Amino acid sequence: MTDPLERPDPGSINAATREAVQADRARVAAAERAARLRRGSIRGRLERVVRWLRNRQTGPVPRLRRVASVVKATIRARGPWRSLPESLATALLAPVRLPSKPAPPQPPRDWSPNRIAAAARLKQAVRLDPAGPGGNASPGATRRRVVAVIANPPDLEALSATAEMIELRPEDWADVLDAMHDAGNGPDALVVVATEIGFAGAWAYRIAWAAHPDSFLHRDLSALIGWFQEHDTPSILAITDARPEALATWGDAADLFDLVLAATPEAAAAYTKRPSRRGSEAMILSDPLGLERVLAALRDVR
Amino acid sequence: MTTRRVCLYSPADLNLVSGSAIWVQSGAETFHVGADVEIVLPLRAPERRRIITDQIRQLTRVTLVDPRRQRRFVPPTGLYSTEALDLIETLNAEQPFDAIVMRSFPYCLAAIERPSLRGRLWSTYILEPERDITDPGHVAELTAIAEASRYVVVQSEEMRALFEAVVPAARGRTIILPPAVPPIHADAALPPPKPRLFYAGKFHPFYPVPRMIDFLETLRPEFPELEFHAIGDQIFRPPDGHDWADELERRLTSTDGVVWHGAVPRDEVIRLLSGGGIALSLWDYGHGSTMNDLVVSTKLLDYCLAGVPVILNRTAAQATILGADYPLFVSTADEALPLIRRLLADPGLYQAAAERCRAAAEAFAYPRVYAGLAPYLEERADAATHLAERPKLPGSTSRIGLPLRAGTSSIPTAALDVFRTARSADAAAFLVVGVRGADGAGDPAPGRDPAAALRANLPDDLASSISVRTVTDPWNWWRTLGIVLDPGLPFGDDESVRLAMASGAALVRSADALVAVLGASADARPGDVS
Repeated sequence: MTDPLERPDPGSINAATREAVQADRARVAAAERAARLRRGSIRGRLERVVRWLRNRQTGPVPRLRRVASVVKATIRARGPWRSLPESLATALLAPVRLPSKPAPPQPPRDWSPNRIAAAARLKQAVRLDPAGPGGNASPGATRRRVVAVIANPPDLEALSATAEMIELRPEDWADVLDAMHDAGNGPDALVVVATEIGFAGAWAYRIAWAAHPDSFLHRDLSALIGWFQEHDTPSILAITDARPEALATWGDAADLFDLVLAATPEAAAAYTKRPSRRGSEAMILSDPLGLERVLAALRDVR
Repeated sequence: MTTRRVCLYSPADLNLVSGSAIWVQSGAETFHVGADVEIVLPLRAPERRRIITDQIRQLTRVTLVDPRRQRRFVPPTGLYSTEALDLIETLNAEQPFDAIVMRSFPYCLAAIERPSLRGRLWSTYILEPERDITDPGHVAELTAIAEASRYVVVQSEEMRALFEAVVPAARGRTIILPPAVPPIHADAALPPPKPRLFYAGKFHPFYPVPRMIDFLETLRPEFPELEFHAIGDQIFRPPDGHDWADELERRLTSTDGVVWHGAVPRDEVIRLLSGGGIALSLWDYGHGSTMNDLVVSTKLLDYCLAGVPVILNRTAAQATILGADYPLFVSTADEALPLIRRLLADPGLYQAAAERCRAAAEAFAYPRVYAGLAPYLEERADAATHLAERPKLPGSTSRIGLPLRAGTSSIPTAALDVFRTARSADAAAFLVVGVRGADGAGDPAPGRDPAAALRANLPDDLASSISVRTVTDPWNWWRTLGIVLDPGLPFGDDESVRLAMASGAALVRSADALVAVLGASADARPGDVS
């Protein structure tokens, strides 16, 4: 897949992404400069001394505590006296550091560039909606809409009233989509409907959370959404599941989609707040489910 | 009976009270259940505090080895990894170990370079959440460890599934050793409800302790007796600034109602918890990997053992331990506040949650955990069968597997006829055709499975109920299937069929048998994949 930043199409969503990344890098550089200045100043040095004095691992107080502990333990155990001087010296003088993992925890990744790109893809898809601004005038509305879909039969029926539905299967979706694209009839959106009963068939354990690597790693789902991103086409996950455990069930998958349509305002807020969420703000799913309603929601994408 | 010698090594500093140090104690206690097991436990750092080591000393067949045996002057940070491995090699040369249970990825990576340790190494918890499992270099190192180890040891069934998927070399040699707790006395009563909140463990941004103190401050006007008890003294100090740690220390020492106990032995933690209260095990995913979802938390088990209700994040491993319908799961830390309020006002909910927690701890009692390890340690004949026993996934009962050998060009008509009959009897039945991947071949690219060619001749009436896939990881594939259709169609080797049987799948050959099995499973069928 081409990196969105490397694609040579200035003025498109990639330009917006590039700007966001550059602004982000400038922000980080400015923060580093400020931190360097602060470390070098007298105030910064004083702060470090005070911090050392208060440090609970390497400061003077814990060192003295360790000395007391060594003396107490040695007296209580009546030895070993021979190693007491060495133990005392160790407790008092040696540098003490907590054992830590070699790779320190990274700060949460900033997904803003991905969010901007996702919003741009969704805005583009508004042209699919005849009721939307400029809907009928756009070239996309001149042909019947084609939507790639993963859904259970009842939902598929609800969605298929106004568009051609292409059902995707895990074993051959890439070949199917490539063939459609090469024929100039690529899909206009990916719509996945996550229902309460889950995907009992072909996509079982690949989208909803399950104690299985197909679910943990999301190899299929990531690649599928990646295909749509590469073709500047939005991916939408509609979650009708309103159970308390819905967030745990669908959260990991929802992070990947450009847009999540959730059952309740609380659920929408929860999907939006996930640190690893890389799509647009989650929105409320209109009831009953229908493609027109899904597309109508795109007009409010932020 | 033969005496088994086990070397248990972790780079954790037992002078500090942390989950890793408690794990060493828990591991020693678990192996000590085996009546003929001798445990040798080399210490990484010289003893300065005996909070943990004194507890281990009470175990008669455990020998603690002072690191000064390897080097006269050992800095308080402990032996370097090379020195620790030298020490283990020396001990092994004096009297060979049957198993060397070594925790942490870098130590295991270094250990496999030593011929005397290879083959008897139980590489433990090498899948570390901080490392990137999508990095091919890291996967190559994990593969090298798996190939040179007798077993790879993981914490949970979910972690095993992930590890075997990422490191194919570990398939069939990955076993489970979760953290463990002392057995619960049958007559132990549950602690009474008390207006106390508990947190025990290290202080790291991943555990939102400042938020927990916020909860205390918010609730104190309503519940003036409410206290927050914090246990532990290990505060994470990020290299780029100590503001978070300094502020936390300030709040722990100056907030009304906060009692900071510092580092205390595990027994004392249990004793404190047993006074009653509400335990908090909340995570902030902004500061840690979601791989933590697969980890069994030592602190959770301690809370459960004490019989206090725990408010915790809903994660895979924790939902397995407490049950998906446990009432005190949260998605974010903020959701804990209303639950604390409810627990303080509703003794019925407190009691029900506490009972659930106490019951959950029983599965992690030392004897139970040792029973899961014994077949491997004692090299029993049924060890291979134990390895194949994997819990089925929810929703798998109506999924039928049809295993075919590598290179198969069509689905046997007889199998399709059997499935058609079953499908007419049970509309939920779904057939998954698995074509064994060629040896050494990796997973096919997503959406381009060569097995998809088998769909070409599928009858229209069945096509939507059949999925095909190349199977490179049969261990995890069987977990998704409740029934295996006709083992007479060889999947590649007898081993695969044996795995299927050990996994608990029902083997059927005829349509009648298939319908009967589907009918029997329909009553118990969750009907949901979630």
